[in-house]
This record gives sequence, structure tokens and C-alpha cells, in this order.
Amino acid sequence: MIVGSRPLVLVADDEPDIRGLLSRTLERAGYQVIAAGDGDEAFDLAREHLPALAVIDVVMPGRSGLELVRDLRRRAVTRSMPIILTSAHVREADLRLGHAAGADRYVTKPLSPRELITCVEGLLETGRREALSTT
Amino acid sequence: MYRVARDDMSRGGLPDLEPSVEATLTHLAEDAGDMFSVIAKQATHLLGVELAGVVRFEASNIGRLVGISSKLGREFGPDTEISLDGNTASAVVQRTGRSARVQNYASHGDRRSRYLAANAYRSGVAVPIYVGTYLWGALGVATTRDEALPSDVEDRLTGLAELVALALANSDSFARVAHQALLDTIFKQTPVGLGFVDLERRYAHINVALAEIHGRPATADLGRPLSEVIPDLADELEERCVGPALDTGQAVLDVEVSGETSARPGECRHWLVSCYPARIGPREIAGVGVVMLDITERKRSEAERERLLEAEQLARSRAETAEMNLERKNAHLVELDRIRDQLVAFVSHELRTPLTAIRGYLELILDDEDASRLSTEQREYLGIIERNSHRLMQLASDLLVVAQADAGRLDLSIAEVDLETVVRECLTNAQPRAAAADITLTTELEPAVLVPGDHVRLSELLDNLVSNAIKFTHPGGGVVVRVSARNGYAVLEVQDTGSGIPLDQQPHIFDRFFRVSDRPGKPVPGTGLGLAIAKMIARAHGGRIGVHSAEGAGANFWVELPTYALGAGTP
Repeated sequence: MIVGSRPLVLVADDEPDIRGLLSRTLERAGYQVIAAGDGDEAFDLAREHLPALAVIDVVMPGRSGLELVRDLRRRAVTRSMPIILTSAHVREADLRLGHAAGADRYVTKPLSPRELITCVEGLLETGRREALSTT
Repeated sequence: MYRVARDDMSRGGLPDLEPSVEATLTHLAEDAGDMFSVIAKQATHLLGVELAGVVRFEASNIGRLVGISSKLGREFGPDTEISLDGNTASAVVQRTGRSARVQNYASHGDRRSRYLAANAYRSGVAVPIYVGTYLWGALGVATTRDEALPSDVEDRLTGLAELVALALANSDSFARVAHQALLDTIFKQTPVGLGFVDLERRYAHINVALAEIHGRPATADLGRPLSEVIPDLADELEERCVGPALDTGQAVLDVEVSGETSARPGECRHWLVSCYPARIGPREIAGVGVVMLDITERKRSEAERERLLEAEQLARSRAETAEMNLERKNAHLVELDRIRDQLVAFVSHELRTPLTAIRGYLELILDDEDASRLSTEQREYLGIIERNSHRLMQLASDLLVVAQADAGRLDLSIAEVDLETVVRECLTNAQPRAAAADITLTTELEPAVLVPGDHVRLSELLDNLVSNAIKFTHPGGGVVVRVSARNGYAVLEVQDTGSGIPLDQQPHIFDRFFRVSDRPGKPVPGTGLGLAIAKMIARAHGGRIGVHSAEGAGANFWVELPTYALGAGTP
């Protein structure tokens, strides 16, 4: 990630409207966005572009959101990438599953654009501080 | 005392003797004993001797002294058993069947002769007592005199012996008559129907019980065929009992016969009948003895028992069927519940994605830096869309909570919750709505009331109560939220100054989809689930919820939540 340039965020959601909403919200907040419509595509994009953060829907065709998170956490290049899982599954058990898979945040739908940006900024800020403290 | 039984007595019965038959038979033996002693005494007088006795032969060499003129020591008392193996006159009579003489007892070696000799008896004579051709016993005499007994002693004694024999024969006849009378009594008085049917299938004997079964006097039916006496039963009786008994010569036992008799017309009665062939001599069958036992009552109680048993079985099988139906219904209901839960969860889940799109894009429009391009009217419309999408979202959440609570798995993330924090957050959110409705929100909070609970759910509970209170409070009114602690419980109260809840509706306000009718207030429709969910959340925390309200005097909703148990370690 080049300092000063706009951070790249990966959005993975099989619903085009939601994908569009997330992308536009992030773009309007000043991020670059790459979007995928299923888990497999998202996995490839993540390894290719190494985004600063990923927003991933839990329920997707092919590789599910949870599987995607697990797979990303297994690769060195994406191991520490902040990940936000989004889902319409709102039960405690679903949240625990998400965190167990390795997500940093679990956001339930319906999610508000404002909340999403707050969440993304928070995670990136934390990441920056940690990066600074380790140098 | 001893009468010769007349022939007609044995045939016609002895009605005058009947009640005392048994007593008569008992006395007979004693009387006979007296009789033999009387005869013995008579013999001493007639023959001019000192001792006379009657001996009954009981077995070879054994006799019984059944009568004696006078007692002579222990050896010659009345009813003494005496051995007849010596050479006394009676012993010789038993062996020879003829009269015998003993010239000198002293010359005999046997014990009884020596005994007589020792008692000064010199000689004796005994004659046989024949009843018919049967040697019954002996009649003997003995004398102490030295001169020999006269030569006619045997003849005179034999005359006496014949008298004894005659008396014996008579007493035997008498015994037979008495025995007959006894049998007659038994025959008459037994409660079992007894009859005798001859070879022509006519009644030869009918006892009282059988006559009662027939319903006619016994005399009326003697000599009449079964088919006339008991037309309803005759066929069955003849076919199954009397006939087989006659044909096979074997007893036929325990045959059940049913039908009507003239004793009880129109009533079906039941009998257990046994028949036995009655034989005269070893071969010839004279007729059939019939034994009839009335088992109608037994049959009735059996039938009754059977009926009860059947009724019980029927009831049991019905109960089992009902139980099975119930189980099926239950399984069906459980399945329906499961489907409903699934459906609700599915709907709630599926609503979220389109709602995310609607609300998300709305937010993008309203937050747009160029939103000023929107007209006031457009902004107002978008506001309405936003409000209603919010309601939809609330409904989706509420439905899910209800479905989870119904399924008994309302997720709680338990942590220490400070109720003051919950109240402040809630009121901050509610403040704009309250202000818009001109309602004052106030609090009365005890500090540091902590409960183990799910912060999010408890907030939801309080939100629902506060929203409800705002909804039903008139402009200018107020809502007070209180938190207090007492007796191990934290108490959360939301009191409004609304119009209150009619008493009859209070038990239902926590039912899902229930709405207080004619409660004046702003026409703000809700999901009808708010209070139901509040109750579910309170319950899931082990707490209770309720309302105090007098119509027109506002409502005070209260929630009791268990605080930490004393000594549990957490403040």
C-alpha cells in the first residue's frame, strides 16, 4: 500500500445491489474498490491485488464468506488483512462463527453506509498504528 | 318298640318320621344293645341258669358280647370284644355253625373258660343265631350248678335265638326304611334339581328343587315325558344329556342348557345339567338320573363381568386411539411449529438484504453533498420511505426474536449490565421522538444497579417500553423511567401519563399482536410485538414483567430482573 494513495478495499457480495451500495459508499468515502460476486473470485482478487481491507458477505455461492476468510487467513500475504464480515444472519452463534473464522468485525444487515465507513476507518487506523509501532 | 316295617312304609315314605330320622338311627344301636340284654335276662329266667349272653360274630375268632344278663367282671361286660379261639360254647358255635355244650369249664384250658370256672360256672350251652342263612352270632347260657343242663336246653335256646334273629331282621328292615327316609329327605331338601327319567323319557322322580325349576308340583309331572313338562328345554336335554347317557351308558357332565320354563315364563334361565345312567344290577339300565343346577345368576354376573371387561377394553382402546391421535396431532403441531420458526427466520433473514439496499441507498441520497438538489417535497417523501423501511426492519428483528424465544433459544450474551447506562442510551435515542410529540422524559435512577444480562436485549426491552409509553401519552404529558434495587431484584419502571389500560385488557397486553383497543393515542401503528418481546426478554433473564394501570391514570410498566446472588463474587 502506497502511503498517500487511496487504500484499496475488496468488496465481496453476490447481491449486485448490495455490492453496488458497498462499493459506492466506500468510493464516496475516498477508497478504491475492487468487487467480486462470489467467494472464488474474491479469493483470486485478494491474492492478486492485496487490498488494505475486505468487506465480505457470509452467504455467497461457491466458496462461502466464512470459507473465504479462513482461506485468506492461511495465506501469509492476506493473514493480517482486516476483514469485515457482513450478514443477514444475526444470531449470536453466527457472530461467533464469523469471529472464529478470523474476521475482525461482524456487521449484521441491514447495515448503514455511515456505520460501514466508521467501521472501515477504525480498522485501518488500528492497522496503521500497529504498523507504525512495529517499525 | 320294634315294629315290623310294613311294606307300604318303604314305598310311601315316612312323613311322620322324617324330621327325626337321624335321631332314630342313632338310637337304634343303643336300643338293640338293650334288646340283647333283655333277651339274655329272659333266657336266664326261662332256663333257670345264672348267666346268659348274646355274641355277635364279627370276624373269624372274634366276637362281641352285645348283650349279657348280668355283668361278670371285666371279661363279660356288655359290648366287650371277646376272642373266640378257645373252647367256650360260642367259639365252637362259630366254628361249627351248630349248638355246642361245655360240660366242665374247669377242664378247658382257654382263658375265658378258666375265667368262668374261676367264677364258679360249671357248664354251658350256646346255639347259633341265624338271620336267614347268615350266621349272625350265638346265644349262650352258663350255670354254676353241678348237675348237667337239661337236654331240652338247646331247643329252648334255639327258640330264643330265632326270636333274636326275627328282631334283628326287623331292625334291619327298620334301618333300611330309616335310611330310605334319610335319602328321601336329602332328595327333597337339596337345592339342586334332582330327577329320575325312565327309559321312555318320563319322569319317575322329581325333587322339590326340580319341581320349582319346572314351576309345577312334582306330583303333577310324575309319569309325564320331559317334552310336556319342560317343552322349551326337553329337546336340548334329551339330545345332549339324557340321550347320550342312555346310548353310551356313561355319565354326561356339566352340559349348559338354557331356556324358559313355566316357573318363570318369558325369562331365559340357565342350568348346568349332568346325567348318569342308573343301573339295576350290573348291566341293565333302568333310566337316567338328572342333576340340574341353576346357574342363571352366575351366568348373569359372568355376563356382567364380561360386559364390564368389554366396556373397559373398548374404553382403553378408545383412549389408546385418542392418545395415538393426540400423539399424531402433537407431532404435527411440533412440525408446524418448526416450519413456522423456519419460515419466520427465513422471512426475517430474507427481508434484511432488500432492506439493506433500500436503507443504504436512501442514506446515500440523503447524505449526498449535493442533497440540496432535492426539493423539500422530495426530502419529505424520502423521509416517509426511510420511516417505513425502519418499521419493516423492526418487524424483521421482532419476528426473529419471537421465533427464537418460541423455539426456546433466545440468544443472550450475558455480561454485567449497568441499568443506568441502558436507560441513558435508550432515552438519548428516544429523546427526538419525545420532543416531537411534546412529551417530557425524566429519570429517577438509583446508582450502580447491576444485573447479569444481555446489554443489547435489555436495551431492546426498555426501547419497547419507552416507545410504547411515548406512543400512548398525550402531548404535554410525561414519561418517567425508574431504576431501583430491592430484595435481590433490580426493578425497571416506565411510567406514563397516558390514558391507562382498561382492566379487562391488562392480562392480554403482553400477548403478541395484541393491541389495546380504543386506547386514545397517536395513530402510530406498531408491530404489536413490542410488549410480547419485552416479556420474552424479561423471562429469558429469569425476570418478570407487569403493569399497574388504572384507566385514565396512566400506566406503570415494571420489570423485575434478578441481580447477582449474594456472595457470587460479582458486585
